Amino acid sequence: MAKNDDSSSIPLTTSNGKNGKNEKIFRGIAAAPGISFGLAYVYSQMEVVIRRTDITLGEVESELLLYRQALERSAEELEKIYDLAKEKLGESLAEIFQGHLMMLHDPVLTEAIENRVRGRLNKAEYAVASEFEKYASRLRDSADDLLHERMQDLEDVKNRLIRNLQRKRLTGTIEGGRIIFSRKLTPADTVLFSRHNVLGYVTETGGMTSHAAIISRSLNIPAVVAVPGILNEVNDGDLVIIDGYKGLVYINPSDTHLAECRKKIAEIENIAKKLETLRDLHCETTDGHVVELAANAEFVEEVEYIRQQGADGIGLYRTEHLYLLREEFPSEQEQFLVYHEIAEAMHPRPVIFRVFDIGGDKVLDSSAREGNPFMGWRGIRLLLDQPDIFRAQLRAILRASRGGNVKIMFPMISGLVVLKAAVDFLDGVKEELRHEGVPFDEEIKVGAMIEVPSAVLIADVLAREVDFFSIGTNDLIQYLLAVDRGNELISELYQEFHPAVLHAIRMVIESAHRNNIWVGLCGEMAGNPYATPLLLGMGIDEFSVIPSVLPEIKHIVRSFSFKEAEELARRALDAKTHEEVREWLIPLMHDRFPEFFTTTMT
Amino acid sequence: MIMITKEVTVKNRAGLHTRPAAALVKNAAKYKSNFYITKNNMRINGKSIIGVMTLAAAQGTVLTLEFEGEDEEEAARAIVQLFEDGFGEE
Repeated sequence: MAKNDDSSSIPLTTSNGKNGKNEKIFRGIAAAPGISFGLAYVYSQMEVVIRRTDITLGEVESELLLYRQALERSAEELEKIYDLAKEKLGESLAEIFQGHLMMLHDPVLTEAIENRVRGRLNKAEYAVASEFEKYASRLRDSADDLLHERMQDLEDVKNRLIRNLQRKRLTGTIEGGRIIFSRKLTPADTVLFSRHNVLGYVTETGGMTSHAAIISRSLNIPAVVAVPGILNEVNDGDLVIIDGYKGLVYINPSDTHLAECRKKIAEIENIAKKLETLRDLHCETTDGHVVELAANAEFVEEVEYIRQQGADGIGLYRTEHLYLLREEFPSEQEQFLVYHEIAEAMHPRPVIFRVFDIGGDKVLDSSAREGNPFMGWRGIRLLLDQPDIFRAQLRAILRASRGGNVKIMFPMISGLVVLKAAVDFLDGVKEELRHEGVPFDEEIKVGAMIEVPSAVLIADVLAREVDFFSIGTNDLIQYLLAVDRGNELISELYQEFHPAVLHAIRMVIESAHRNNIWVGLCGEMAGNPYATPLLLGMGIDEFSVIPSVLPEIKHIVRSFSFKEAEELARRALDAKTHEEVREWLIPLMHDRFPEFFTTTMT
Repeated sequence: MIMITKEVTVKNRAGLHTRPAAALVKNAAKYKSNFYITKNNMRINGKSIIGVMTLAAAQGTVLTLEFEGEDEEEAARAIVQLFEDGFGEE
């Protein structure tokens, strides 16, 4: 999960905006793409303050009746939300609300609440608050992330029940076409608001993977999360712009920004219409050269969106989150279930699973930290030294391969010995499974990630050992140019069009093709539209990109002839500097695709 | 009345997370018998979803199940089976 720094509550800029009000711009995490503008609706969840109030013995029965009515109303609300969620989001995300219903009807909790009303003569709302709190505090103390998420669910159920006890209506009326500002959003809020034609969400807390963020993405509503302090800056009814691509929020935007925003929205709508028509078309040049266009993925929840975007497959499935979520290596069975679900959902389109690409800091205790982890014990190096972990993951992937659409990829390959060791290890695991009679795809394809410069230089040697390459440009560029892109002092030296980078990519492609294997590119560069014609022209066989840019990249590929792309690639390879390439490439692309580059992709 | 006590191991990948917890509680509700689960020193009512959640039983955890009531035999059989089948997750 991305972290935001504390400074984000300070406006990035302020200047005179509309109606003499100051324009203020904030940055958060771009949680769901899209741009919109409208009036702010500041949604303040009631801070439910419950004071202890007692009742008389004679009031017990009427208080219990109130409690049961509140239970019933809460259940009705949840049933409605569940139905709505099922229709808009599908069964698996809607299950959250089934869970809420079960908590609401928990017999132990219900009994404890009723006993409290009867025995201690507590008012029902106090009884509810106290009994829920008992469990909440237990969950809060737990170190388990998943339990924290559950605590959030418990909190939602409690608040719903108390609101109904206080006979307050649901959220009141939200006027249509507002941008919701809130401290946090519950999944239920997100689903319910979507009925009111909500234009966007801005929250003070949350991250890319919070339920609300995932739901916003599936509902296609722009969202910016993790903007601490924004509620102190925005007033109900303020005019705001939210840019869910860049994670920016403009309060009282200047006329210039407003005009820009309107233009962008119109353009995005146009593009969206145009791109829709591309979904089922091949990623093919005007002269019939076909490339694969796949998506990078990490979560099961993304698969639906990836399919909607018309992906030919998943070109990079990152498995690290399985570890990061739980701070321990997941079991074979646990992994199998995830891999199986992804492979099934994408079937028959291919899914490339990259084995754990994590650093030694995840395994070693803190006393044994490495001085230079990026050049240390990570990726395949770590896995080969931890055969139990490696074996469990390979078994899980192999078992998920029965449908014939699974491929395996090894990260951090720096030489032939390491690659051979990985392939031999895989062969050993296959043999184990055969021996046990466990079925898997005997024809499963294996690839090497090319992200270490040494692998580029010996790509010919490596190509003989595998079925495909995938170039990981993020790390390759860092290693090749010795530039840590996270270091602001030198980040401008991180250059995708540096001649060394372009020549390295070309070398890898040529080595692959000489050895009759295909080669993909799964770094961020694959999703950079400026790079598309160059990569295409150099002969890349597969692009694997973040799902949101998939249609744009397809559109660009479909607008070029392979011949022209080859010429552009040659011209770029002849350049002496990154700047020299940009000098002609950027105007060329702007000319060619005026509708894109004024909007979201810069 | 006698009480039936069984030991089971959690087989599910993510432990007794949302889905298996829900399946467990729903099934337990079908029986009249009381049903308790103990993990280390924590004992919870197995018919309570919130209780099962707070157990936070990870994969490999050994749990003690207690059944007490007129249909304790059937309940024990059904619930132990659920654990053995990994709650139908595979």
